[in-house]
Formats: sequence, C-alpha cells, structure tokens
Amino acid sequence: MDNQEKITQYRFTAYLMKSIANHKARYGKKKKRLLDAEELFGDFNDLLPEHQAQYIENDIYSEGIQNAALEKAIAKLKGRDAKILLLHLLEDYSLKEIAALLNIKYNSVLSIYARALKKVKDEMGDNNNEF
Amino acid sequence: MNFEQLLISAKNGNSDAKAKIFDMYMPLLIKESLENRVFDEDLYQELQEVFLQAIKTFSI
Repeated sequence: MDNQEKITQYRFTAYLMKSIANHKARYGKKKKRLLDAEELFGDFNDLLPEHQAQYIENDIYSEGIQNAALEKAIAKLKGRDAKILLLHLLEDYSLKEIAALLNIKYNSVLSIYARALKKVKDEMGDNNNEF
Repeated sequence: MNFEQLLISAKNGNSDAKAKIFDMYMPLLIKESLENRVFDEDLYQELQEVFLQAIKTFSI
C-alpha cells in the first residue's frame, strides 16, 4: 500500500467516523423523543374515549395548559387529534415529525391538526385568542 | 485493486466494490452500534445507510 493510498483510506475513515458521530447524535435525540412521547402518550389510545377525556381533565396529559376552558375543549377531541395537537403545541414537534412518529401521511396530520384547532377554537368561542 | 480504485468504482455504483469496502468497515459499524455493550439493530441499519451515503459524498 503506497502513501497516497493510505492517505485516501485514512481520510475516508475519518470522514466516515465524523458522519457516524453526527448521525449517532441525531439518533440519540430521536430515540429520546420517541421514548418521551411513548411515556407521555403510551396507553392513551388504548383507553376508552371517556377515560381519555378524564385523563386530560385530570391534568395528566395537559401539563402546561393553564386554561380550564382550553383543557375541556381538548378533552372533547378524539384521542389521535388531541395527541397531534398536544405534540405540536406543547412538545414542539413539527407536523412532519408527528407524521413520521404516528406513521401517517403529512397531509393527514395537516388536516387533522387544522380540524382539531378549529374544533378547539369553536369550543372555546370565537372571542378567545388563546392560539 | 487498491483502496482508492475500490472507492472510485464503489462511487460509480459497483456493488462488488461497495461490498468489499463494507467488509473492511463492518467491524467499525458493529462497534459503533453498541450502546452500553448492547447491540442496537436499528442503529446498525441506519449506520449502514450512513456508510453508503459516505461513499457517495466523499470526495477523493
């Protein structure tokens, strides 16, 4: 193996190591987010709708929501709709990330989110500018 | 065929060349896929993609 070849191989190895390190950092963050989301919403979909509403009302999923009317409005949403709304507004997930997380199309997330937001707004009355 | 030639043909899409380079780097990918001495299959798969991407984007 001549010197030039060695240098190319070392450079490639260094480049690969750097790519791996960058990817692992992203992977760690992604995994943590998934685990957090699972912890937060783990059995949410397995619950009956009235229990889901109760959960939200009991402040288990509504950490950070101070407004009682808003809480009630969110409690009236379907499980998945509430999940998307809360993930986006409270957990700062982008709609694209939510689509990947829930394994549904981006456009579906978009329309569910818009519909959920409208429902919450309607529920709270037109005068409320919470969002 | 030396490493540089192998890398060039891998960049040009030669599967044999890719496989040969992959064989060289597989132990590294496996080592990097261990977290607390536990092998993370998902991470290993993603690192394989990173490896292929690195071949594509590396400039000789």
